[in-house]
Amino acid sequence: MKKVFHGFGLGLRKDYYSEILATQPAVDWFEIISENYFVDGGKPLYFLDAIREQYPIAMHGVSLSIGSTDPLNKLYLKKLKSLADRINPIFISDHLCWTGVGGINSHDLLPLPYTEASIKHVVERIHYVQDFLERQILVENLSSYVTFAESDMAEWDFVSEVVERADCLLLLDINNIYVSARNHQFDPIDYLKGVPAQRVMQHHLAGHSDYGEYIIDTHDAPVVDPVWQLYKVAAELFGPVSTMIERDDNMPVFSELLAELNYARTIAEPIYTQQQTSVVLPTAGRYHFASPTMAMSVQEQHNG
Amino acid sequence: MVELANLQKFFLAHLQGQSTSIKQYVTKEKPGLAIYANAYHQRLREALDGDYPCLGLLLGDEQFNQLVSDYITCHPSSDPSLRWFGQHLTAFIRKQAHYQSMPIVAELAEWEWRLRLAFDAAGSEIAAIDHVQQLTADQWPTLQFELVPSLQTVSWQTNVVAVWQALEQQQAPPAIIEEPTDWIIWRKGLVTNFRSIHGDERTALTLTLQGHHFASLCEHLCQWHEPEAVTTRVVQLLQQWLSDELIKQVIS
Repeated sequence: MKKVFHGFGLGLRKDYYSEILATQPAVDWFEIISENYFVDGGKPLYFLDAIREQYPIAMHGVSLSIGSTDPLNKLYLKKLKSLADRINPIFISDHLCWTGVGGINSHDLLPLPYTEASIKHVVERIHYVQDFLERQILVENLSSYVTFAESDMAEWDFVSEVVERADCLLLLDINNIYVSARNHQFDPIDYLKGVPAQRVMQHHLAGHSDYGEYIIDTHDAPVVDPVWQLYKVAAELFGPVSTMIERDDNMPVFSELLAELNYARTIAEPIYTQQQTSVVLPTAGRYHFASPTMAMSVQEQHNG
Repeated sequence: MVELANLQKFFLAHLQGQSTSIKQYVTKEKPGLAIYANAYHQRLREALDGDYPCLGLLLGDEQFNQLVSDYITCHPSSDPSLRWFGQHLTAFIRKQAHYQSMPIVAELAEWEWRLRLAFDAAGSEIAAIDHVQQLTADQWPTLQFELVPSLQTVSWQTNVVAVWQALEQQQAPPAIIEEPTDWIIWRKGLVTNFRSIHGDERTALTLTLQGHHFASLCEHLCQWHEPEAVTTRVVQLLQQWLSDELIKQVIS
């Protein structure tokens, strides 16, 4: 399993379509919310196609509902595959959660009990999805606000077992670890140290709303310092991992997001340089190491 | 130990405001469950706010919030995308006794939804005027016209479009009056267009969608126009449709 490093990306949101095309900002890739492009035409697909010509795109879903006890939605999977065929994404990801049951979609990312039964259930379904899509998917850890009494393992043990047994990859959201660590009083470093480093293929960073006794993952503010500190630890533990910043509300001017992304670079790149890690770069990628003298073995590989 | 399927049913039912036994299966019931329940309603509410901004302005906060709450209860989302959550709102309004004496409410909801449909409807190739001009006279009677997939025709009983335009521009809407009109909505390039149409154009479009050819259009439009003028009128309509980019393909 080769870990491909695509550099530093941003969420592709409609607020920035025109500016991205006009200015071609120094972003290595963009991530879309897959379901937003399950449409027949118009602006969403026009801008997606145009931006895809310039940038690699990752597909990030919110309704796979991999943990639901409803049957997997085959029509949904077909739409997902059709979109993937259209844009040849660098990643296809969704959340390690359930979003609905009984045919009803809550449109929220709901937690699972951390049990052997949940692991078996989810692993079987990830196998099916990966077979259907003919590629590995990434599953993302959640922010959560409740835990279940019957859970008999730590979240990171649950996540690790799922990704290992399903042979899928991990989208490790650093902000989500911080949010859940505060909400459920665990040490976020334990989480980072507890997941299989070789499967960590992507990071999310985002802001949240801090209400003191609890935090809600709102994606409406800049990344906070404690999350940057965790990201630094993640860079030390996992080496080069494609990283993107999610912003979904209270949208700032694009330059602010770009500055935030560049801050992520300034944290991670010096660490990657010191690690002198062998890193795999995609041939069609946009990422270039800042210094040509960086002692990294660069091996090229095609996307997909 | 509770089965995962039941746990999920209890959890979702709780989000929907039903009384369930979920509390006995979670730790941090407060504020955890409330955070999820609030998010459930807020997310669905925001989807409807986005799809029906002028309906909200017409009804005012109190009535719109009640409508939204009732809709969320009666029509929980079943689609993977929030894009489609509001698709049943017009039909839902039409069933509410409260709104049956106010047809503009359902018409405004339908108008906003149809504009939304045009926004991301499939695109297509567009028939070129040059191509039509090169056709010979003997080809015209059997010509058929395939219309673009974003085209919708709709009939209103009220001045809903004028009301919508005022609301959209944050202006006071005109008095609501009964005003039967026909409209088309379509997308030209990436821009959603609409215009009112006369009854003869409505008939011509309906027939065209059914596959009628040019001669048949002329024949049917004789109910609107004198026989010597009808061909000119149909050609005029076709020129307008070509200019509007309403015709996908001319089939000769």
